[in-house]
Amino acid sequence: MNLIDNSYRIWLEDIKRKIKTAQLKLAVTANTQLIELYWELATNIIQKQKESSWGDSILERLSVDLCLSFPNINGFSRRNLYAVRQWYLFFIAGNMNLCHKLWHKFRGDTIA
Amino acid sequence: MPQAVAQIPWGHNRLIINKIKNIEQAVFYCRATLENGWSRDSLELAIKNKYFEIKGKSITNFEQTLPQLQSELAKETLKNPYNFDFLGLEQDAQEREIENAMIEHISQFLIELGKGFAFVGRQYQLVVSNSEYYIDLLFYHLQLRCYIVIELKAGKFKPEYSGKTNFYLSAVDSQLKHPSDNPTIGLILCKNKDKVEAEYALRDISKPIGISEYMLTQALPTDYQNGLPTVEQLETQLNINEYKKEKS
Repeated sequence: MNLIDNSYRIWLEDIKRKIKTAQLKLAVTANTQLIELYWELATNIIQKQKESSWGDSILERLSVDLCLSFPNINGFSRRNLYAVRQWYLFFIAGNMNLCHKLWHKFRGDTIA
Repeated sequence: MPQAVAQIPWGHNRLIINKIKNIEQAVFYCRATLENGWSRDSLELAIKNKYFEIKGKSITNFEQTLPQLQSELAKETLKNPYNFDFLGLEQDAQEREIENAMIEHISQFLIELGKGFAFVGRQYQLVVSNSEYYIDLLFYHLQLRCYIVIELKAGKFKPEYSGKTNFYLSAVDSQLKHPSDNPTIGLILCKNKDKVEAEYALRDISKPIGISEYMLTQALPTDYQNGLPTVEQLETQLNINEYKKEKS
């Protein structure tokens, strides 16, 4: 009886671990999606700023419009959009070669 | 964008951009965060302690894509508010968390009170007219010989809660209550910001049996005073526990 209980418990812990791993993988995937979106947003913002002479006012305007359309999302605040742009420029400017290589590696990868 | 950058929470990213000016170091810290399972605070400390200068040259191979299950990083990723509100789940998730915390605290409190509360179930299912309903907490009181239905809500008390509790009390009376049992007692707990409000729902004894009407009250009739914690005791207890939880 004891043996059955024990082996069941071990098995149960393994099942729980699988569930927790799946939860974590989902959370990491969601996180990756958001960060990828920020990267894409920043790309678009920088591009628009190059094309036009609007300067920072486009960031301000975008923030207002996005906050109106997505009122529950804090990531589109003015402060955060500036942070997104700064973050993007840091990685783009830092090392063009390295980024280029890793970017393509990243695009080809899937989460294991 | 280096791979590790997208594996760690946005808050960690912002921290790194604020403190690190060199991209090689920045990518290193992203990977080190993943490998060590650092919380945002731990990452900040590592940067302050110049972890890169100490370890940077010797570590070359970061294979990891998923944080360790028990790590602080895993916990922060699971609870990341940027992710939650992005999905539009934030409100619900927070309310559920508050309600879960209350369920655990109040269960522990009542059981340890030693007044005869016997735990029956959590999310106890009742089927009424082919529909399923779930009682947050169901206890049976061994001295008072009655069921106790406990409803916990995050947010201010709403009138519909008393209607709902009434419904549950009637359902328990008709489905679970033994003929020799006393009428079921209800308890509503609402946690709004820092305050917890408690209210008992007791059978209105002036009404004949058969008319299920319950009155909401904060004052306990004498019959119940020995068996049930007062509203003040409940409110105090829950506030203490919540404070402790936030501290830890």
